[in-house]
Amino acid sequence: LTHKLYIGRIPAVNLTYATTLVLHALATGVRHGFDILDATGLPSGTVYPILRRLERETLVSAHWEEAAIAHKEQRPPRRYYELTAAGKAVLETAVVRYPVPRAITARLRRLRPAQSS
Amino acid sequence: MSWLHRLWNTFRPERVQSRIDRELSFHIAERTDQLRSEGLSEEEATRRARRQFGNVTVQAERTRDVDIALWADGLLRNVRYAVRTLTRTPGFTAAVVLTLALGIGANTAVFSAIDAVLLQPLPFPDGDRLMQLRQTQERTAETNIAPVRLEDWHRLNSTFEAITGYLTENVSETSGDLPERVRRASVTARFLDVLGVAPALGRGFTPDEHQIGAPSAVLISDRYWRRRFGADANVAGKSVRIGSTSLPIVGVMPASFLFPDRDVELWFPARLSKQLAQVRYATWYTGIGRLKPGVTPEQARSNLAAVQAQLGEQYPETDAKIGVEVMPLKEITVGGVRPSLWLLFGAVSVLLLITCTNIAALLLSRAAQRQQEISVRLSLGGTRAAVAAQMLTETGMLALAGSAAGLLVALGVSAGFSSAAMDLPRMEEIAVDGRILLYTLALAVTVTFVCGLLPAIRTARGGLAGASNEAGRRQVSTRNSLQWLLVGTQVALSVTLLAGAGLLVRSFLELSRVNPGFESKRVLTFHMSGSWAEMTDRGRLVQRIDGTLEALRALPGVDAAATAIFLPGVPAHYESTFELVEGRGDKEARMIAESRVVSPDYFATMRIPLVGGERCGHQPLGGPRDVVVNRAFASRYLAAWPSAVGLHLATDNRSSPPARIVGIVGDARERGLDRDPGPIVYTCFSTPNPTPYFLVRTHTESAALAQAVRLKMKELEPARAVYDIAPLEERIGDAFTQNRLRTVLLVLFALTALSLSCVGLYGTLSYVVNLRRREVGLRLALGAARSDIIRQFLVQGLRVAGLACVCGLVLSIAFTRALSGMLYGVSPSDPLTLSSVIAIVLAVAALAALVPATRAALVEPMRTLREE
Repeated sequence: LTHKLYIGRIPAVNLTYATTLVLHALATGVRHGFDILDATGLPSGTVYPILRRLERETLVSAHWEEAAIAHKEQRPPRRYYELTAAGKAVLETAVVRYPVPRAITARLRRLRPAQSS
Repeated sequence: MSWLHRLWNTFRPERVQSRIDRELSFHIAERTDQLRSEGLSEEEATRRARRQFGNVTVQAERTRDVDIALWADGLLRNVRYAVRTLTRTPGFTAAVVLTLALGIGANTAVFSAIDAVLLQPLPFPDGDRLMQLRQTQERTAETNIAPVRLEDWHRLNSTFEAITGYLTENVSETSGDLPERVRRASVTARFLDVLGVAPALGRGFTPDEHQIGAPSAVLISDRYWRRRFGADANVAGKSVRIGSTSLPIVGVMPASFLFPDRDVELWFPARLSKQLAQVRYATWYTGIGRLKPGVTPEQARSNLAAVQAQLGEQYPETDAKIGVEVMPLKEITVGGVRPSLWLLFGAVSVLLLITCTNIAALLLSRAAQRQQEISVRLSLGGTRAAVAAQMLTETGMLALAGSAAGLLVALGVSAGFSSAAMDLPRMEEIAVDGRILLYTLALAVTVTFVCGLLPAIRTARGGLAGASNEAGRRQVSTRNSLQWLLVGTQVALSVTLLAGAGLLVRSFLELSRVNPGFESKRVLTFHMSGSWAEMTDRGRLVQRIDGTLEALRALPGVDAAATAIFLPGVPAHYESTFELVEGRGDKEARMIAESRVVSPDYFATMRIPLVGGERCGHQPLGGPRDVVVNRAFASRYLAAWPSAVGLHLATDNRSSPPARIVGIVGDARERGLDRDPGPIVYTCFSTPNPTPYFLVRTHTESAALAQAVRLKMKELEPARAVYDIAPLEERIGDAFTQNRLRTVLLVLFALTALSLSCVGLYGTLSYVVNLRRREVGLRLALGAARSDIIRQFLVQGLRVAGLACVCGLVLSIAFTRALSGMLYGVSPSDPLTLSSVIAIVLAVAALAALVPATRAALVEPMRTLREE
């Protein structure tokens, strides 16, 4: 049902290959812009606007990490992204149109252990 | 994030920016850490992280662009820039805003009048369904309806929800120390239901209250309630005293209820005896009907005509020749002022167009001066669209400021307009409300494009040439054809407005020069309150009116006194058909003429000369009437007879015997100064109704005698009120309020237009002179005569003005055709008016051009050469 509900909204997002990669990265558990860059190999000037656009279209949700955690780890706070149900539905259509290359899937697999740590 | 959110973000850029900065700085910090852990030094790691990330500012901007509404951001930036630029030239800004304020203000004011008077429905629920009903008769101009016929129409029709009727009269209210004249409406059953209005306080009339013998009742107006009862909430149950009768108040009508007219203060249930209620030849009521939903006036008209045809078969004697007239009530109320209002709206729109053209020319000159700045922007990568948008935004800001100031002007003008034109319908409804605000906003947008589009395109098109040139040496075309075209447009439009105004002024002058055929100076006119109930004892009524006339004549300073139903020279008409008794059987003997009922002394009072026969003598009640005809009547209808005197005229009023023509008088413009006298039959009778006009000819200024008349009348008839007291000249003047107001306003607009276009001509020529200063200097140095320089620029200005005059004349022909119904004694293409207009425009244009032309001739050749 979610898929059907959101399928009509797909044209609202500019569903490019890069967007698909970002969605895919988020779906596999990558959570912030820095890692998405590493995972997809896309330049920063592409990834951050895409994230903004996806957030605008409520395909991803985002929140800032608690300041205490960032302070403890002595780095600026991270902004975490997560796919919403709509985002997942859009990704299903997107991967049909732009199959994700194996190399990226492999890179993501490599990244995941680092994520979990 | 919705578009609304992005729009919101546009107005808080710092917040959006800091969020992006935080995220990107995390990114760089993370990458730096990563590189450092790979063994790079702190400095190297930071440097490389930054390099890998790319230009942070560009990335931040690109990310920010997703978060905000780009168009709003651009607009905001343009607005800020425009405000900065405009405040840097306060003189220019103030001049443009003021000019626009006048143009937009005048336009908004006239539109607010059009909106309230013509566009808005009448202030009744579903007011567009209200129709005025009248009866028509071939042989008389009488249109009021017999009570019984009105009831028949109500009962038999199938297109009206209900039909009601009313008649208005002036009565004297005697509750206070002095009798006060009040205007009352006697209304038939269903009156409030048809209009869809309920009293604001108390109740309406019950059906019983329309029956004779039942306790009476009166509804009072809001104004009367406040004035007489201090807005007492418990007014119901109190009473109003009319003559010698006290009537209980049952309710107060809302303040907005001004029907049948704004002077009516009391509404009574009409009560007729059974006998009177059945008289079919009575002509009493004006009918009002409320259409059923979805019924058109045409359907109602044919339905009512069918009903009347049926009545005609049933009552052939009284109803066979009666027709029906169904007109939308709104049309009846405001139809008379429609042409004037649209004319004024046309004039103010032309004025606004001139204003816009003027400002467009100003903006063009200003843009030429800013070519340098524009070129820099273009060479730095600004797009032409962005430059055009910037220019348009500046114009938009000017237009908005002008509109805001214009609204203030409109408020003032509206107030002045309503008080100057209080006699015109629905003036009290004029208000500057939400609709008017929207209209002004729409005007601002229109003005922005009309004024700004040309200069914006022109500026954006201007190449990069300026930037590569030395400062101060501008390669601007000195032909400036666009500017001259704009100046020409202004002059042409001004010629059109001036031609219209000139024709109205000429027409007004003609009207004041016309010989009315009577002497309106030193005549005092007034009414005395009376009631139609007095008609039941005609003998007593005649005695009262004649007594009043006697008393007036006895007053020192009074030459003569008379009564009349209508005032001479004040537009009103009442046509009847007469038959010549001596020519019966002859079809040609039917004569249509204006019918006036006047007392025998009317001709002496109004100084209408007797040209044949004799004046009427005193007319005994019930005896045969004498009539006097005017010269036009005698020459049109009775030329075949050796003398009109002695012939007999029969009127369509079968109750009275044929009247003898006793005299012939000169032609007087009874129906209005702007109408030909036409054939008139004067019936000599002092008491046609209980409230005729009294006309008093005085030795001195008539207004000075008003107090003496009041005192005398109070002494004679303490229970009656003298009202509407005014010199005849003033009344004739009042009858032309609309005419005068229209003329004054159009003249005002035309003069404003002329001054604006001359300022435009002056400005453009000054600009051209300034551009060609070096060339002029050089020519002077080479021996050119200063007079040649003056002539050259003067001719340049006058050539444009002359061409524009020709175009203006062509436009005038179309414009003044719309005036033809409003002109008197002058044709829309009057050569004298048109040639005077051209002469005035050329003279003013020459003056406007002379100043810059002289300035050009005074250029110092040496200084110019040194500058070279």
